[in-house]
Amino acid sequence: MDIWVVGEIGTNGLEEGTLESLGEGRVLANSLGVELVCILLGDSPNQYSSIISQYDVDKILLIKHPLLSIYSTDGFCISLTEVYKKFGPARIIFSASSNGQDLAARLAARLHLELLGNCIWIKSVNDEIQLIRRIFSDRFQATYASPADLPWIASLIPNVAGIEKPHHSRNPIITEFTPHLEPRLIRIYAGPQIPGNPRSIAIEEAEKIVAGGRGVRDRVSWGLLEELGETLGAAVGGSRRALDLGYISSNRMIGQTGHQVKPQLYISVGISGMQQHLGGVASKCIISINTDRNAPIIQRSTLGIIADLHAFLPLLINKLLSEGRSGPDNQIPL
Amino acid sequence: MSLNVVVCVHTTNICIGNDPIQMNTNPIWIINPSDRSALEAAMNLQANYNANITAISIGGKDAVVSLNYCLGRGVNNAMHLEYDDEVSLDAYRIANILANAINDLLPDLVLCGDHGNDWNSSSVGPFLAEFLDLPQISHVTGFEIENHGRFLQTERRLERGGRQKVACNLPAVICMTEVSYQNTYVSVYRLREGSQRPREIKLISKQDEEEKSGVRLVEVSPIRTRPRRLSHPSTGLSAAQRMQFLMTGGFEKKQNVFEGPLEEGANKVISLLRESGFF
Repeated sequence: MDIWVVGEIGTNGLEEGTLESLGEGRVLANSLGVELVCILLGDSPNQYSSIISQYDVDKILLIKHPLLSIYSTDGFCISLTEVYKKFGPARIIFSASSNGQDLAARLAARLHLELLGNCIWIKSVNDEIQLIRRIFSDRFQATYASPADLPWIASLIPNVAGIEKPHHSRNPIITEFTPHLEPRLIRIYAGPQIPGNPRSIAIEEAEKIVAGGRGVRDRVSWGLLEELGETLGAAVGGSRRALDLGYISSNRMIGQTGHQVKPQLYISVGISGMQQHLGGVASKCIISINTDRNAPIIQRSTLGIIADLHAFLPLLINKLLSEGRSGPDNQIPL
Repeated sequence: MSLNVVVCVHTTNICIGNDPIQMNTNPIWIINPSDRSALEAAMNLQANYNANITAISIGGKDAVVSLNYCLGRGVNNAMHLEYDDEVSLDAYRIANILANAINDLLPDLVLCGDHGNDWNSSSVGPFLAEFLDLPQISHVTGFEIENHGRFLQTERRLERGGRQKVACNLPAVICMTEVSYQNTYVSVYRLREGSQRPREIKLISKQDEEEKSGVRLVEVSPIRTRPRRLSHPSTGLSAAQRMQFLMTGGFEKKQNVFEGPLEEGANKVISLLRESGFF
């Protein structure tokens, strides 16, 4: 029984959760000696097959239909049910995103399959498959076991498993499939996905964050951070010190005792980066601006700029603006 | 226009001690936070559209807490699906029992929370929608009823703060997020008054459930951090490079510290933002 990973295509292309699920699926497929299949749904999912090919999959199944251009539970569920009845049974892994959770549950109910949602780890132990998920607000974890021959559906929490480095090790077989979809079968009218407004979304949800700390001299200087945030379309947060000084509210505090964030881009301004702060930050790209070359954040940064923020930020903002890009104007209002 | 709305509520224990299965002797029961959002949304409909609200909960004595809260908050009716061994029920069975009970109520709208804080399940709503053969919209932050109670316009929450407008005809099932509606304080007087209001009680026997087994719970333990996946470093690298590779999780972080003219520093930041696709 193969392992299927259902990929998710978001506004910015393939979602990272898909790549994480592929990594998890690969390990499981290797230990069970089965094939890993990636399923992509959309009106033209072909463009992503080259990316998927780099993640060690045996087969790619492209489900194409004009009605799959935007996610709808009905359209995606009907298509996957048809695919499962034709190519199944299988163990199916989704990314536990909003759409993934939604679809996994609906599909499990329709196919009468077991569902284990919001897992952090799916692994093969002896003759069983173990699925682990956090329970009671992350205070405990529950381990579930499934017989190796049982089909099930699971969803994997994003940003937990990590993504493997892409490489070409096998050439997957690419198959296309057109489901029998009709507009009358889709009962949901879904609009386009709108990116979040960084000024109003929760700090944990932000993709780009500009954060300030003790090094920011006063409120006027804090305005520079907000200006930089607006220029880049990033949310503005801060360390405990910024909260104590009243620059931010508690819902914008980042750190172990504040909000734990995982943005794609994290710009730290005047933050030394002690463990209490960095313990709440996980980002692939950290740019730090600090006068202290030995500050811990500099060691963790992708790019560290040793400069006084009060002189550096106005220059950076001017340069960014002169490039003709303004963040907030590009945001679609909610 | 009078809407018939069903709101499904669930009770969670926030004082779980060292073992969530062996219940603490002094449990503190609360209504599940996202279910409370669903309840507030339902009360909004009662105020604006004169909707008839029925709160429904499954469980033993714990379910009484949620129903008392709902009655204190002002729902029109309450239904208690009494089942003593709630721990043995998974989301599929819960949805099955709920669907059997809700079917008879012929609702225009079924509201529930999108996430259970106890067993971390997000599937009761979609299961319920499938069993009732209704369209479902999950992770809803707000909604409006249009066209004389026949059309539902919602806003969904997506990743990284994204939003999506989704609409469907009624009847439908919607799953509300935790933060979608501000909670209203219910006074002790109202809670006591609610606890004295009548409610329908249905005893659920094990025969009423649809049998479904296979995946079983084997252990509940304190959390352990799972190792993040690391790609194997090339054998051609030196020991130090391999260690760095492993420590960075396989991502090649180019650590780069710049100290010099500000103009040049700004250019470096901009070129990194460009390379990474942020600008």
